[in-house]
Amino acid sequence: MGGSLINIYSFVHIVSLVIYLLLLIYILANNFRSAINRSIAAILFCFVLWTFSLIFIHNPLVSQSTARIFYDIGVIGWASFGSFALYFVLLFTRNRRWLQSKLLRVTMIVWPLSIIYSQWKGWLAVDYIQRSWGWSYHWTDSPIFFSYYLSYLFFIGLVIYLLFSFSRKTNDKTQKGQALIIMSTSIVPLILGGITDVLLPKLNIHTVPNMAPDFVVIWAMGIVYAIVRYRFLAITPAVAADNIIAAMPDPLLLLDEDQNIVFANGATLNLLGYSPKELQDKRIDVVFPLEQKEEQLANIASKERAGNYNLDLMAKDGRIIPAICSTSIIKRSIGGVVGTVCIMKDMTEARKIDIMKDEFVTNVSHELRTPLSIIKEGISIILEEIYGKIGKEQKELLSVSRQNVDRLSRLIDDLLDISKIEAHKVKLEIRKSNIGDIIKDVLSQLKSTARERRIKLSLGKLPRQPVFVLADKDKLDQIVINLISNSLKFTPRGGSIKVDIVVRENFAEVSVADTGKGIEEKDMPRLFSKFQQFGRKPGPGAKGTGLGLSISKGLVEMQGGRIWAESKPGAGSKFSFSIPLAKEE
Amino acid sequence: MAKILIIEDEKEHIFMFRKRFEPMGYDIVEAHNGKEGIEKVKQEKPDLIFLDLVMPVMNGIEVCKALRDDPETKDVPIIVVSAVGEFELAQECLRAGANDFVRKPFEAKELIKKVNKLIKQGK
Repeated sequence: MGGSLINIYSFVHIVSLVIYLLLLIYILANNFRSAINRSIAAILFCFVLWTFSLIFIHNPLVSQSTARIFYDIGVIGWASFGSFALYFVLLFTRNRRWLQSKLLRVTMIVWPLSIIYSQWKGWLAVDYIQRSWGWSYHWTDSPIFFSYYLSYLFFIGLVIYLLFSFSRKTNDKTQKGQALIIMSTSIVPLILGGITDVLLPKLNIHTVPNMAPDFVVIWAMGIVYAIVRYRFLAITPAVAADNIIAAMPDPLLLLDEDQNIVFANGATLNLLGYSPKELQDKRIDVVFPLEQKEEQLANIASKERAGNYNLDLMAKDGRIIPAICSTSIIKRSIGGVVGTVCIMKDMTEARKIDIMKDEFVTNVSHELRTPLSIIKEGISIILEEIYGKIGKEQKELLSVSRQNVDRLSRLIDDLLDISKIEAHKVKLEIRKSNIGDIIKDVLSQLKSTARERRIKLSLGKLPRQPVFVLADKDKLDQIVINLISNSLKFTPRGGSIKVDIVVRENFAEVSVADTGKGIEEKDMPRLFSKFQQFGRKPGPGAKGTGLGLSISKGLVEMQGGRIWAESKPGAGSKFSFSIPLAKEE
Repeated sequence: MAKILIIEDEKEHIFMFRKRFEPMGYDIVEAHNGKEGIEKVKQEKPDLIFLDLVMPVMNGIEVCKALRDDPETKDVPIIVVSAVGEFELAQECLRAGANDFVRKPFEAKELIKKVNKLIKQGK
């Protein structure tokens, strides 16, 4: 064997070196920016140096002085990889506390440097002897060697301990799998490497050379397998989704078809006091208050109705928590429902703010109306000449003032209405009522105003049978008054307003048509928005608040109807709304 | 001469009521909170009460209930005159025993109509 250029051992080292180089390139190309990838690359680079040196050391043709040079190169690799391995494991297990520890950082740098220095000084490996397979050495018996040996074992042990405890603690199945692979692939290299590189030289047995870096190939491939298998170094939608769910502040529950909790995220503990494990395999109704169980279960179970709904949750300690539950259905790709995803959002603060806002609006409207009332009474008493005659000019001034007090109080009413509509706080008393009667009442209320303005206000021909609708009578009054008042405002003297009722399918349609100036085409889309007063040239009527139509729209839609307008400039306007008919009994 | 008791914490409101109703021949007495109001009802035996809702010590609805529960005062007509504008509240006042509800700012004509009607009924 003595004469061949390379022997079997140096050939094995060459193969290992090539594998390490390929893995090194792969890992950097995979994700150069990732700190984990770079730490693995550093470990691999150590193995490259180590195997590279052994190619020459385990070669019978090399002289002792040349072998020593390669020994001194190789030590850089085997002395340093422990620090990089620890760094990698700290990154992988997200051990921030240790990563930021200055003492550990200094140790991780000083420790390998001192091994390298000791080896270079000849304090560790001694007695270089040429064997048939190349150069062998012998570990010194000095305390220095033993302290390094023990610290080396401690370092490697620490790495394995960290991986082990992480794999037990983490709930993330992906990371658990990765940790197990990295851990288990380190066992064989540790044992075999320990035998060939530490034990045999120590026992002065030199039939085989150091082979540890070749065994460590298994471990390096283990890490790569973990990468390929779980792709933990690159963000994938699945991994990202896992992380998002784990980090979510809102409880997320995964329900099967029978409303059993298959999975719960960690946020359940904060909001409800139940840990994910406690909730698993329980029925969803454990988190509902007793009196709401049936209703809530029915809500969740209605598969067609994925969406948001308000509900109350009951925490473990019995606290009731107002929440919004968003559900969506999970379907199989081949069809059929597998279960439901349910995200609960804590609405405690939002509800408090809602109540505060309501109180604020109510209080402000009360506080505004009180002085307005006093002003109006004062003006009225003077206008009515209870305390003596006033001149024509004074009368005119006070009339305008009083009209504007009225306008201001209408605005307050409208603002109160619109804020209630927007907050869905309007209470409806839906009853079966005769819409013809309602409209006749409204017309008789407004008749005198119309007459004052010389506008003809009339009701068209009614359907033969009385038309019954399902609606809140007062709200219906308000809608019709709004629409007619609007027309009164924009119809010039001598004009006319006609109200009609027709039945179309399951709805009664009420229309208010006037002979005013009409509405510009461009203004039509914004007609029902808040504070829109445009297009129609005002008639002699009182000024509005710009809220009437949007209030009407809110009230109509709340009762299951629809509101719309038709108009051509110069040809008048027609506002219509529909309201559901009462079913015949 | 008919007597009207005004239970109202806003002095300016009372001033306006006086300015309007005294020239019409009504005798006006006043109370500035709910508790005082109940005492005045017994003391003055008014023919009609104008009752505010938002008041210190006792609010209007409580006053209404207390007056209706007492046999001595259960028949005195009450008109709630309040700046609280909610429809639901008006309903609550009527349930508590008030005869009518007028919202501030009001049309004097309508208030006078209601006053006349209730006083006529009482006689």
